[in-house]
Amino acid sequence: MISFDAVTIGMQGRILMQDVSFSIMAGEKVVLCGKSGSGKTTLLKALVGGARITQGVIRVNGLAVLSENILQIRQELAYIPQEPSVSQETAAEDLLLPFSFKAHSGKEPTTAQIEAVLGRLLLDPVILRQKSATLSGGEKQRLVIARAILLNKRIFLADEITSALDAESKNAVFTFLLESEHTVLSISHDLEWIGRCNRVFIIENGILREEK
Amino acid sequence: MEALDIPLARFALLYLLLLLPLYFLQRLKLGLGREVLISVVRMSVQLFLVGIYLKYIFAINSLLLNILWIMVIMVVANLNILKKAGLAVKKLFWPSLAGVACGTLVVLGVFLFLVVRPTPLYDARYMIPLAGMLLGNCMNGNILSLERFYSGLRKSESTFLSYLLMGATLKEAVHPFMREAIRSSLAPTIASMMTIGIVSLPGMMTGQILGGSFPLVAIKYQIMIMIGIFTSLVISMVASLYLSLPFAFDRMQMLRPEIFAGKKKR
Ligand SMILES: Nc1ncnc2c1ncn2[C@@H]1O[C@H](COP(=O)(O)OP(=O)(O)OP(=O)(O)O)[C@@H](O)[C@H]1O
Ligand SMILES: [Mg+2]
Repeated sequence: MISFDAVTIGMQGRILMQDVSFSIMAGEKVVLCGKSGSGKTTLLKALVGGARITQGVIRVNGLAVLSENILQIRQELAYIPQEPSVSQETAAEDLLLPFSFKAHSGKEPTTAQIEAVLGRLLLDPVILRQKSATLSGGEKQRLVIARAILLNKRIFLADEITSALDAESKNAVFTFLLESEHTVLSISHDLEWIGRCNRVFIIENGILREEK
Repeated sequence: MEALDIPLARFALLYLLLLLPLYFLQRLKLGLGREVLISVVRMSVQLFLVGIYLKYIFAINSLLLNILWIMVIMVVANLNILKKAGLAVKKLFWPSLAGVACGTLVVLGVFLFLVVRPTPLYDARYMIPLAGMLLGNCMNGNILSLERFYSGLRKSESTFLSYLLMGATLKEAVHPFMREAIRSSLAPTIASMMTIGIVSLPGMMTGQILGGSFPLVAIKYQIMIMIGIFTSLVISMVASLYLSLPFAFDRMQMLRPEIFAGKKKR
């Protein structure tokens, strides 16, 4: 489903990651660990054409990550970035931002669907009327997760998405992402999250290895 | 009516006035003295040169020469925009120039052909200062909007990428960044329209009144200028931003790092 084949990523003259190879099957829950600055975020970005690779091939569903395939590949994946950021006026507008894009116009979820997703993430629907800028860190994080969920994607790239959450809402996110048939490639320092994934990858000194 | 000329000896007094701010800057140890001196010298020399130049341009008053002059100041303004916005001249020269030209020329055309209608229509006494004023404002606005737009995108690359994965086209994905950049860059102009005339009499109007124009005429010109400035500002901001997009993104729809000037070595 996802494969890295001898991928090298350089960053302004220095090599960040060398000769990285692995593959992930549908439904697997993978977590990537490593020191700050080791290149975890860069690896996720490279998978969706957001970071340039120097050598090797990355494939998603058999398609190489190249400009001619990039639109199709991006359709398959959801990416939840490390710093959740909201840009619209109200939380509702932020939640429904993807449905203001031509690609999803007319496919807005119903109120019941929205409330179901918010409920699973322990978010109170009244926050939708709130100004986005006034949301708390944890609320923003869950709003951004909810937004990715509403698009019904099968593959999730999740970059430290539980860092601002308390135990209870973290558990809700675990249940949604890790106890489902979704494929998840995540970055986390959270021991509980790491414990609930099937596979653990570690990046150290530019080398990626799997912990058995 | 002519404005009172200032005799040379008294004109020199102005430069003595500068000793006052220089003294304060010195006392506060701001270390700006050199910079201030250089900027004052440059300002004086540039204005005198332009004064001499304009004297001839006004005297000759030829359409071709006027157009040439406007083209020159547009290029200079454009280079300044890219430099101050921290963007690479090589990559964005043309789209940014085109944006500035759109904003300036559309409004200049309306001013000359429809509103003021001097004879001849290209009369240098109107065409040159109006173009300069519009251009100066577009320049400042575009510095802000281009800088904010591209640095915002660079800072929030992950967010931008997440929009692309939510099915956004390039234009849709940059829209939130564009909105923020334009909104914050227009704020000073809108604020100045709110208070104009109450506190400050704008430069051009002061100049006209000192030059002997009846205040009501000066006010009409000032209103024309404010509306013109705002219009040309919005047109040039929007045009520069949109026109630069194809040059600033690669085939993966990601921001090209090369568009930023002077890449710092890490
Ligand atoms: N656009 C860029 N230009 C230059 N250097 C970059 C860029 N993006 C990332 N880097 C550098 O690449 C390295 C890896 O960054 P990355 O964000 O992938 O680290 P990370 O493992 O996700 O770290 P963290 O755990 O702190 O999020 C860092 O040293 C970073 O400074
Ligand atoms: Mg990271």
